[in-house]
Amino acid sequence: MAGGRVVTGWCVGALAVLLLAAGCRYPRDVEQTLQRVQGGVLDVGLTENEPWVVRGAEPGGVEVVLVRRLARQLNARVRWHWGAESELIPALRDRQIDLLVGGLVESPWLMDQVALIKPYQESRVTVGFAAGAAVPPSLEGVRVAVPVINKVFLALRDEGAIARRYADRPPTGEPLAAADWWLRAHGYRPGPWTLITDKHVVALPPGENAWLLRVQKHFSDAADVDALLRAETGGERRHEG
Amino acid sequence: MRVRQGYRLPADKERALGRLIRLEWINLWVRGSIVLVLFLTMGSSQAMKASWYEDVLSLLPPIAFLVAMRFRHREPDVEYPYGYQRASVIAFLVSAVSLFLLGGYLLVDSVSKLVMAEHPIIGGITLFGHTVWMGWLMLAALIYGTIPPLILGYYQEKAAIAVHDKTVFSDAKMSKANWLTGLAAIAGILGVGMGWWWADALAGALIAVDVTFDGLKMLREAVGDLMDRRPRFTAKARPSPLGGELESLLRRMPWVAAAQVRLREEGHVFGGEAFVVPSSDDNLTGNIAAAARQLNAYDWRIHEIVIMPVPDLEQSFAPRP
Repeated sequence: MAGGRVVTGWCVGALAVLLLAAGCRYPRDVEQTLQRVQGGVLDVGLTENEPWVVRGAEPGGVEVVLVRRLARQLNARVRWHWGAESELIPALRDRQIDLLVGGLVESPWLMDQVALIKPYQESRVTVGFAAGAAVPPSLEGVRVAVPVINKVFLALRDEGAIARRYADRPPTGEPLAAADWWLRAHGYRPGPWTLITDKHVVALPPGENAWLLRVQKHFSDAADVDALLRAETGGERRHEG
Repeated sequence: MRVRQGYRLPADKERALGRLIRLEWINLWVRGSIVLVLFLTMGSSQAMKASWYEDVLSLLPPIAFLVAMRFRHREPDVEYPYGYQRASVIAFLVSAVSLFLLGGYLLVDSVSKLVMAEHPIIGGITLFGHTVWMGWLMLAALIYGTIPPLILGYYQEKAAIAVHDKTVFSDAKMSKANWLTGLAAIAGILGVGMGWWWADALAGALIAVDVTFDGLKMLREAVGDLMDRRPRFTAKARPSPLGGELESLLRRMPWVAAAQVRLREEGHVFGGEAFVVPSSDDNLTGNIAAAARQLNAYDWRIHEIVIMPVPDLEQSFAPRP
C-alpha cells in the first residue's frame, strides 16, 4: 500500500535525523552562543541586587561567584556590563550579552521577554522574630516592620498583620518581614508563614537552547548556594557593624 | 397536541450503543490524560501549544456525545413534541464552531511568530538530580498524544457506523487523521533542537491549518443536519438511497397508484413524510395505518414517517398567492 510506504519513509527519515543529531551536539543554539563562548568571551550583564550581585571594584555576590565558576569550566574570559534591567533585557534579546544576572526572580513578564533557567534557588519570605521573643500562633494584629519598598504588603494584610514601614535600618527587636536566609543570618527566628516565595533565576537570549541547557545544569548542580548566601549576608552584617 | 412516540433502538443496536458509550468514556479519559501530559511539558513551544489546544478541543466531541446520551431516553413532551434527538446535532455544531475559530486563532498566532522571527525557548528540566533537555520530554508526550488516539479512532469508527452516530464518527476520523499533526509537532521540536528557530512556529501553523479544516468539515456536516439536508449514511458522503427504497416499497402496495417520500435527519434517526396517491378510497385509513407501520419498521433509523394521501402528486397545499 502506497500510504504504508509513505509512513515507513517518514519513520526512517525521522530516525535518520535522530541518529545524525545524536552524532553532533543536540540540542543546538540558533546563533551558536555556547560554541562561541567556549574558549572565548562571555559577556555578562549585571544589575546590583545584594546579596546576589554586589557592586564593588570587582563584582561580587552569590550569582557572580557562580558565573565565574561557569566561565572557568568553559575556559572563557568574562566581560562584566553594569546596567539597569530596562537596558540589559533588550540587549539580551539582541544577543549583545550572553547572560544577565541580578537576583532575578521568575515572573510571567520576564518569561515573555527572555529565556530563563528553571529556578535554582527558592527564598521563602516570612516574618522573623528577634532571639528570645516568642513566635505567636498567628500574625493577626502583629506589628511587622517592612522596608519602604517591599513586595509583602498585601500578603501581610491577608494574614491580618499590621505592616510598619521603616526607611533606613530595621528597628531592633521588632518582628520583621524578610527572606528566611536573611532572617537567620541576622539572628531572627523565621516564622512558619510563607508570605511569598521568590524563585531565583538568571536570564539568557531566547532560542539559544544549548546554552540555556548548559547554564541551567551549572546553576542547578551548584550544591553550595546556601553556603554562599550565608557568606554574603555575613559580609553584609560586617558592613553594617 | 399530539406528541410523537418515543424512539427505541432495536436490542442489538442498544448493545452496540452501550459499547460505544463505554468506548467514549475510555476515549475521554485517554484524551484527558494527553491534555495533562502535554500541558506539563508544553513550555513555550508553539507546536506544543497548537497540539495542546487541538487535544483540549478533542475533549468536546466525547463530552457532547456522553451528555446527549444522558438525554436519549427522554420522551418527546408537549414543549418539545418532536423529541430531543437534535440536541446531539447542536452539540456537534458547537464543537465545529469552536474548532474552526481556534484553528484560525492558532494560525494567526503561529504566522505572527514566524514573521516576528521569534526564537522558541526549550530549556532543560532537572529530574532526580539530572538535568535533561525538555525537548525529549515533549517528544515523549507527543508520541503518547499521537498513538492512542490512532488506535481508539479505529474502534470508534466501527462502533459509530454501527449506531449511526455522527459526533463520534467525525471524531474518529479526526483522531485517525491527527497522526499527521502529531508528526508535524515532533518534526518541529526536533527542528528546534537542530537550531532551526522557524521549525516550531511552522509546525504550529501546519497544525492550525489542519484544525481549521477539521472545523470546517464538521461545520458543513452540522449545518447540513440542521438544514434538513437529505440524509446520508454515517460512513458515506453520498446521500442515502433510503428515500427511493421507501418509495418503491409504497408503489408495490396494491392500493397505491403513485408515491413520493422526503426524509430528514434528526440526530441519530430519520423522520419525514410520504405523499401517496391511492388507487381507490376503500379502507383508506386502514391502508395508511398499515403502510405507516411497515415504513417505520423498514429500517432501524426511521423514527416516524407520516403518510399523507393526495389526489395527485402535483398538488400543492401552500396557500395560493
